[in-house]
Amino acid sequence: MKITIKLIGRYKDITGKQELLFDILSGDTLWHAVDEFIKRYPVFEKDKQFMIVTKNNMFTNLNEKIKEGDNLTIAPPVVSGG
Amino acid sequence: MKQTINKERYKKQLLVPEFSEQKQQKLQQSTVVIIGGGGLGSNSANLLARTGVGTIKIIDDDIIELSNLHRTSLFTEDDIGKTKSMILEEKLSMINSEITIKGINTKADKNNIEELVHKTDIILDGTDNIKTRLLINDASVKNNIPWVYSGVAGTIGMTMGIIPGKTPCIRCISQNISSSSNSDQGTFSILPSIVASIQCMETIKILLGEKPSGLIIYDIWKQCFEQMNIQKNPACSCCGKHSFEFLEE
Ligand SMILES: [Zn+2]
Repeated sequence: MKITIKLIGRYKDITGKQELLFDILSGDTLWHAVDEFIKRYPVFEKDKQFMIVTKNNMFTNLNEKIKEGDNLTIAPPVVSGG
Repeated sequence: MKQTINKERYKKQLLVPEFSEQKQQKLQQSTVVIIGGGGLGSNSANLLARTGVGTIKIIDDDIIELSNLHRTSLFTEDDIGKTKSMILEEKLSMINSEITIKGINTKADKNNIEELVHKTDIILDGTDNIKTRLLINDASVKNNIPWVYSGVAGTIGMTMGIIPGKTPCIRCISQNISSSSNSDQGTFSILPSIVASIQCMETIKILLGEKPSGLIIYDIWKQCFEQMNIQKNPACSCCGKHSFEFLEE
């Protein structure tokens, strides 16, 4: 199945895309979506553990499976300078 | 606490349709604690004092350095070597003598944070590290006090108003938060004042009983502004399960 991931902030700016379309197999988790994103854009590898990933507008454990129709969003990590 | 408002001082903001004399009065009766008096904290303290928040406490034990001047508010070259919280108290008292400003020359930690935020209406994040933010988040949720997260790095700023029990907390939005302070990216001078403005607006809305606007992400270089409306995570260890590990560690 195909799944769309909405990109936020500099992920959108750097990729030049509002959203990305991925092939997902039944049983794939959110980690798979994150891995696929990084495979396409290795420049974001250092963010991998800290990205804000939401499924249906809620932060979810990345081990959760993706279902058809899920609404996924990936945003850059929380910034912490002052 | 002074209860009456000076209408002459606030006459321009009293004309704003979203605002009112009653709301100005509500701000006058409010107490805020700002943890950190640097780039974000000094700018937010300045804005809230001019807007007429009745009691502002600023907690910081750092001294002013030359490298602070590009992104902070109110500090001058003559202030280098002096304590941030004390200089902010002194200068803000001259800007608005009708409110109470208190500089507290200490560092917020797990032993004193609950006492520092006791009886405050809201906490503002003016810190420069994730550890203190997680501590503020724990103290906020445990004591049912709203707080407004803000952070800056490079050209990016983020803000999120957090009302315990109603909105997600900072730990709802990320399973892991990097302990890096993003200091390798630096901070562009103008960014903290803009993010502080957004932070103060979210603060005022919460003080007036309005809903905050979710996670706000702003890129000063690209002039891009985005909002994410993330829901509360029932499995969140802090606001979902009431485990306050940063207060207890
Ligand atoms: Zn939470």
